[in-house]
Amino acid sequence: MTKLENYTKYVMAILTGLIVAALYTPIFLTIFYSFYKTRKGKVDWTSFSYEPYTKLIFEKQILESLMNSIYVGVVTVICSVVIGFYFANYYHTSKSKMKEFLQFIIFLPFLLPPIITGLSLLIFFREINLPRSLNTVVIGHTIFVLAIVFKIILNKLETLKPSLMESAYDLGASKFQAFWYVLLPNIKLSLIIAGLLAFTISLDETLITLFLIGNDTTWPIKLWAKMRVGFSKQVNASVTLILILTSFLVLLIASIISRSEKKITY
Amino acid sequence: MSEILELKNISKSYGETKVLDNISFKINNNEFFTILGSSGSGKSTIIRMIGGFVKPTSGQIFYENNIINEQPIFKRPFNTVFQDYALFPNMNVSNNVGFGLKIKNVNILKIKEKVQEVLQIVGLENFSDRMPQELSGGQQQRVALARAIICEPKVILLDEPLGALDAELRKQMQLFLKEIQKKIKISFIFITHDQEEAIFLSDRIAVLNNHKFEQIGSPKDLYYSPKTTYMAKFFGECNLIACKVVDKKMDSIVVESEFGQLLINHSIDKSIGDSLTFGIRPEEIKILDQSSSNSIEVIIKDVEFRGSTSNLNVKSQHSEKYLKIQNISSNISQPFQQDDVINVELNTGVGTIFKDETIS
Amino acid sequence: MWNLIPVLEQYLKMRQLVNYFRTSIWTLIRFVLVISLILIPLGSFLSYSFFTVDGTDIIHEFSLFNYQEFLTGEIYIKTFIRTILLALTVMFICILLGYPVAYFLARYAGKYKYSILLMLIIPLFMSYIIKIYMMRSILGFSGLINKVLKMLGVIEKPLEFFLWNQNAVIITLVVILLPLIIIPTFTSLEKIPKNIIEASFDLGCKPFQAFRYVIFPIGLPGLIVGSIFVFILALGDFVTPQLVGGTSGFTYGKIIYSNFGMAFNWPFGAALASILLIVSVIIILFTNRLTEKSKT
Repeated sequence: MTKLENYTKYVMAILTGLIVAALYTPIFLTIFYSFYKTRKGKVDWTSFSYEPYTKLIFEKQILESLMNSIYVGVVTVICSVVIGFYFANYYHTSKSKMKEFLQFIIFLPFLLPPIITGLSLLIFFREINLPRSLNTVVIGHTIFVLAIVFKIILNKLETLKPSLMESAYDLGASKFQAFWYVLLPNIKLSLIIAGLLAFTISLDETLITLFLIGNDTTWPIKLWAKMRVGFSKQVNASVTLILILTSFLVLLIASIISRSEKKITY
Repeated sequence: MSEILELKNISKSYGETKVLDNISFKINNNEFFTILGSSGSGKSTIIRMIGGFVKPTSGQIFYENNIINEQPIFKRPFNTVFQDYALFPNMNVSNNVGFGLKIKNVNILKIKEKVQEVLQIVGLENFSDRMPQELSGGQQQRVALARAIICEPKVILLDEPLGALDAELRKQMQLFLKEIQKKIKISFIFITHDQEEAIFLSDRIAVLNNHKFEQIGSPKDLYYSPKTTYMAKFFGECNLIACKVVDKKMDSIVVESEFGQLLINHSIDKSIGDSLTFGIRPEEIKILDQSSSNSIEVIIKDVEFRGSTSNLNVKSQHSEKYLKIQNISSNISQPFQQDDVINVELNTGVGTIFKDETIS
Repeated sequence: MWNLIPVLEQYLKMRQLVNYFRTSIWTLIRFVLVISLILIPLGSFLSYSFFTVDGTDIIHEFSLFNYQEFLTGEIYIKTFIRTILLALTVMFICILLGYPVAYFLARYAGKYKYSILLMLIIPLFMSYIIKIYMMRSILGFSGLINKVLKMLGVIEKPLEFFLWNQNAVIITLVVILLPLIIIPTFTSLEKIPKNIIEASFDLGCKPFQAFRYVIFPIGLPGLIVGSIFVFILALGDFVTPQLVGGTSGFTYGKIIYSNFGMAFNWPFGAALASILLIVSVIIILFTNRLTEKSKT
């Protein structure tokens, strides 16, 4: 490597370090402010306490919104994985030209600004007189994450050997049997990854949720509301806990992926 | 001076693992030089060091008598044909081939001219606008070769270029490469694990074994004058006989072996009582009607009929050792039965004595 | 015996018919699902833009009133263009900062590249609102940046430059969206086989030439995908201006949102959003074309 190349390499390394630091600053501040209080812009170093975390279980409102978010997340995962699998399978096995158009439509809600997806569903629900609720939020989230779930499952389907399914049929399996005993177990991993990802995204999804929620609150909505009042230590504490949860989920996904790549695949 | 490139005492280790141990060789002008070795033997490492992608742990690389160890890749006057062709996916054939000249800021029209010239040499004149992804394996290979040729390097390095091709195409490409090399008169350093390929293509072969060069020489040298028993058994077959010197004359020695007494027509500086190994190719053993002064008696154990010629597996009268005899005219071997005793004579003049190796 | 044959034929024909129905039902379900959940809402959304309001009622009659308002009311076009410029600025800053990071990870980070990438991905999953809110503590008068600058002696009094204006929106959006440009850029750079880079050196390229003629062109599609993604998200964002934009930093998205709040002028909001929709769809289709061509 030339001297210039060496030099640029170091500059880029430093830049990377700075950017990682910059991205994590809001995170560290949140954790920091869950332990400490500030008064008039200055940190009150005496205000350190674990209380916000321990008292959290008793904060009914926060817990309720968390429960709602988890409900929405789980139902979103189920719906998006089932529908996503259905469409991925169709795309993989179909030879019609319509499938490209179909894929484009599926990607649309994810690619467009969330505000548009949210608004279009809002208007649609109003016109068909469907009252807003947690379930409308589920519909919104499902449509939003469908694109990712679809792509992940499709990628896995396309890397499977076609002879796998063919040998199942050859041995006499019906379509359903082949699906249940052969296809599913082999794509299990990607279903799990897609599901975890869908859950993690749904947990924090704010923009679309704002439009589609009724009187209940989910976690991001709670934060949106609290935002006007200002954030207490408790809110910061709960954000920190959620962050730990989602980081854990992301690391889980990453370890599943890396372990599956080390396994022998056909 | 016809030699242009020299590697002297080159060694390469990755941490504790030694990959190459004291490699030395010279490359001449306009020569087809092959490095032959099994997979993972380190042969790719050698040409990667020449190309500049890897630095030797010790030793020097000389080009025209200058040490070029520290010279960066893009300054070296060599070009590489990579194992998987490494064609640039974002450029068509014409731009791929002309890339080396474009970097040197050669005039655009000149580049066009040369590209057409080189594409003609490799037989792809009509493919200049195609993208690499549209080409077959063999065609991609020829583009990779054209890309290397156009820069008129002193040496072209080919890293197992025919590995990914099917048998039929491989034979065609072998012929093609041999002809091209003679035509453009640039030295080729060719890497392969395929013996037949090496013998067919090369002016000289270097056999890599155990991180060292076992022997370097022309195909005939390696076949008729193997320097070690490994080399003897490497190309074709070789019968290896353990011997002890019992008498020494001016131009020959008499040895006692497990097949009986043999007269070997070589002069050699061994004394009576020394052990040595004698190697003789299966096609150099003659079958006699009756015993002669230098014949030995052996027992037939196997007759392999192969059409006009047959092969025999015979066992010594004195021990459990076997000899292989090849290319016997089938009408001679026809009446042979198992356990028959026949007389054979070894053409010891073309055998090889391995002074320093003894086999049990 | 021979009577069985026509019966068999009939039976097989029926089976075929049933199968045909089965598959076409599935096809129907498939398209119904997709259409009802995605296309129809979009359609109703677009059609809404042609309606008008009367107090709290929505008049379901076709009218171009909203679009007229958009074109005549200066503020709307002005804000739209302003927001486009803002999104472009965010996109370019992200490219400037993100590309070197992606390049570093793909080419030089060796065994650490996935760990660092993971570190860059995790902030994406942190609560969106909190992230933006925390930027206040960073950018503000008594915030982190000003404190650090004061400590280093660069300034005497804290700067107002960073908060309650357009700059705050830009900086915040960059912090939020940077990982989204790094990931696809990294992916397409990392895919470049090592021997192609070696081939470029072998043919005489110095490092910068190798970058210019080989690495950059091949890695371009990933960069484009990431950039467009960042651009579109920045274009439609309305939370950021709300939290850090103050009075001078507002975006088109904010105006859309406000029409669905107190103002209750859904049709007008829909019209404004439709314009955003059309611009976004055009950009997406165009990018699709671009990356399709280089993705042989």
